[in-house]
Amino acid sequence: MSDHLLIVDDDPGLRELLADYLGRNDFRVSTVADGRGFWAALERESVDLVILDLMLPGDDGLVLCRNLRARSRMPIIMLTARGDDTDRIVGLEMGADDYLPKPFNPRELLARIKGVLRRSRHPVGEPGAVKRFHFAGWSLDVAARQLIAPDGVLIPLGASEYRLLRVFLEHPQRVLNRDQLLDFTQGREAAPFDRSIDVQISRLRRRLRDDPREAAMIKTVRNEGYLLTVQVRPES
Amino acid sequence: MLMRRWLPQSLFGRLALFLTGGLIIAQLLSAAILLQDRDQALYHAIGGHVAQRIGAIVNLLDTLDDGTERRRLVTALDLPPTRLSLDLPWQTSTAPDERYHTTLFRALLKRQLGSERPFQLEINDDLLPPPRLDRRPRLAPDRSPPPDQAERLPRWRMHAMMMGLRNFVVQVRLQDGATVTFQQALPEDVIAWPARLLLILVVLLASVTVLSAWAVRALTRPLTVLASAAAELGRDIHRPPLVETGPLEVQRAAHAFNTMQERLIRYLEDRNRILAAVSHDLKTPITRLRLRAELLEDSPLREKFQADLDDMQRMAQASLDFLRSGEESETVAPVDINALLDCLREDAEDAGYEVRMIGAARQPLRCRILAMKRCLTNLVDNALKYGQGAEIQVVDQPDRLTLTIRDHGPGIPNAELERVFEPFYRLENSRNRDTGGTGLGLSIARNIARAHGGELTLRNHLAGGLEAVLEVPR
Repeated sequence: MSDHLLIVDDDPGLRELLADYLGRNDFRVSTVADGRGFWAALERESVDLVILDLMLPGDDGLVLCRNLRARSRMPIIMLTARGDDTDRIVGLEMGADDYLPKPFNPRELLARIKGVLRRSRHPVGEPGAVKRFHFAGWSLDVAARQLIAPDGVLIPLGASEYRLLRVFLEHPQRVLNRDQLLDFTQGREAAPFDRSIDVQISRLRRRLRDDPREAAMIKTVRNEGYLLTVQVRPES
Repeated sequence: MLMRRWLPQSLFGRLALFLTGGLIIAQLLSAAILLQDRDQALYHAIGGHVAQRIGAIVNLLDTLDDGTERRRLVTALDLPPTRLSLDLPWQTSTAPDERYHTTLFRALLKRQLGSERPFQLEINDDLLPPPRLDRRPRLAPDRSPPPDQAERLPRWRMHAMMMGLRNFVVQVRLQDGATVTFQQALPEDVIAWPARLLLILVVLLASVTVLSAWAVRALTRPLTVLASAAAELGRDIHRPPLVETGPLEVQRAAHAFNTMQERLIRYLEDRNRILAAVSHDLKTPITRLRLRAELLEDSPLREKFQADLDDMQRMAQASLDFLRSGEESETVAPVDINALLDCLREDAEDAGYEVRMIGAARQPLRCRILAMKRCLTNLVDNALKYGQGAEIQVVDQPDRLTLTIRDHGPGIPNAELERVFEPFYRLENSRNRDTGGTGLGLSIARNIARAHGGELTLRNHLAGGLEAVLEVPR
């Protein structure tokens, strides 16, 4: 049986079009216009994933997201027309699993929906709930996507480096081979240019100030893959 | 022109100059008048007394017919500062001395001696040396000059000169035709500035200078504050308003300035709200159009729809980015600039471009990481778009970090270097449209640079290509 999506958006045209588009892609879709309709729909039927617009009449998307998260682990994708980084950070802090700024490419939405659904079925140590990872004096702010060095300096990360680092942090002290890494990193968001895993690893090592010839944090395990050697403490 | 050259440039300097200058002139004039008055009074007192004494002695000598008696009297009275002698011949007077003090003394003498008696007055420092300073017997039998006289003469002259003393020589004819000569040392003029008066003047001058400097500083400070506030307004429109205190005029100026700032803020907010509303409200229709295009049957039409939608979306996003570029919502934190540039270089390399790095930052830069990344991304993207490659030079100085992004493209005509920063400005033969530019990239980058207290400028490199210079204070 196909997955049931609940779309919460106050724009009737968009609701209709989304329902049509996602329906053609083998989802069952229900649509509501605001918070009241949202709770009523949740009472009525079982839902697999919520697509939630940030700006709604009455209770806005953030409030609905927080209230829903308080009672269930139901996957949530936030949509917003604001699209600046503070909104994204707040949305993720409120417990949304993913976030997509309007206007979005419908195929991207489709990919995100599938990604979130897959992860919700095969949870990897509850990654959605983690706000921050701490390791060897470093920390990775998940919502802000910021890497902070032990001396407090912000280290900018490219999209692929961020994904790779997150995979390592979710699987600390475990050897991950190239296929696994590729699978994990591409499962999230497909970037237009994905270099080979080896190139990404060397870039990530540079960001972590890890000497590539004598790497201490991300070790190369010959013929097997790579290993994050340090201990990781997730913070929710 | 000449005035302008020696006039101080600052208002403070000019006011201070005029105030102290005026006060100095006033003081000098009043001091001169005071001294003149004092001089005349002194001269009257001293000169009157001397004239009286000369008159009395002449009358006394007239009563003595006997030469021996006269001589004894003259010897007895020959004491400093008045010297008497019966032996000097009548000097035939040259042109009479008409100086003020001589005329005055002559008038005093005439009053004492009577208008009938012939006398003459001249100033002659050569005539006789003054008497010895040591006391000698009043009735010395030997009237010949002391042996060391020749040696003492120049010394006395020097002493007299320093004291301002002149030797006034008065010759009077007695009734029997004999000539009596008086030599009187009198101060020619007391205008020789006494040290005490000079000291008082200096003290007064110093205090007047200090006081006027302080007063002028207090008066001009509000102007300085206003000027720096206006300069700061250019960088930060939300700077705290001026304090409306002080003299009435200053209060009014501060109030006017604050009102102007409020109006500017309101105007900018209105403008931003409109642009934001338009850009923002476009997002939902664009999303709808994207979905509609997706629902079209697979056809070349769909591709074109999507390309147009991409353009619209980029414009709307760039407008919003432009509005946010001057904001300071993000927090300032130390950022590894080398890593940031590395990210940009790697992204460019992934897209098939070549980026060369020269130099490196020595330490992290305190900035807003997302804004700075956006700024540098725009500059590097421009270089890649028009120059097919970029060269990033990093010069780290203690007070600022300078990033120069150079391309090897055709550059920009010098006259247009500044205009391309204007939002939506396009060069005549722009390839912007073809390359998908929005006309906002440089405006955004400059806004971000300025929000960091820095500056972004463009220039054509001598060897060709365009150079963007980003300077951020440390």
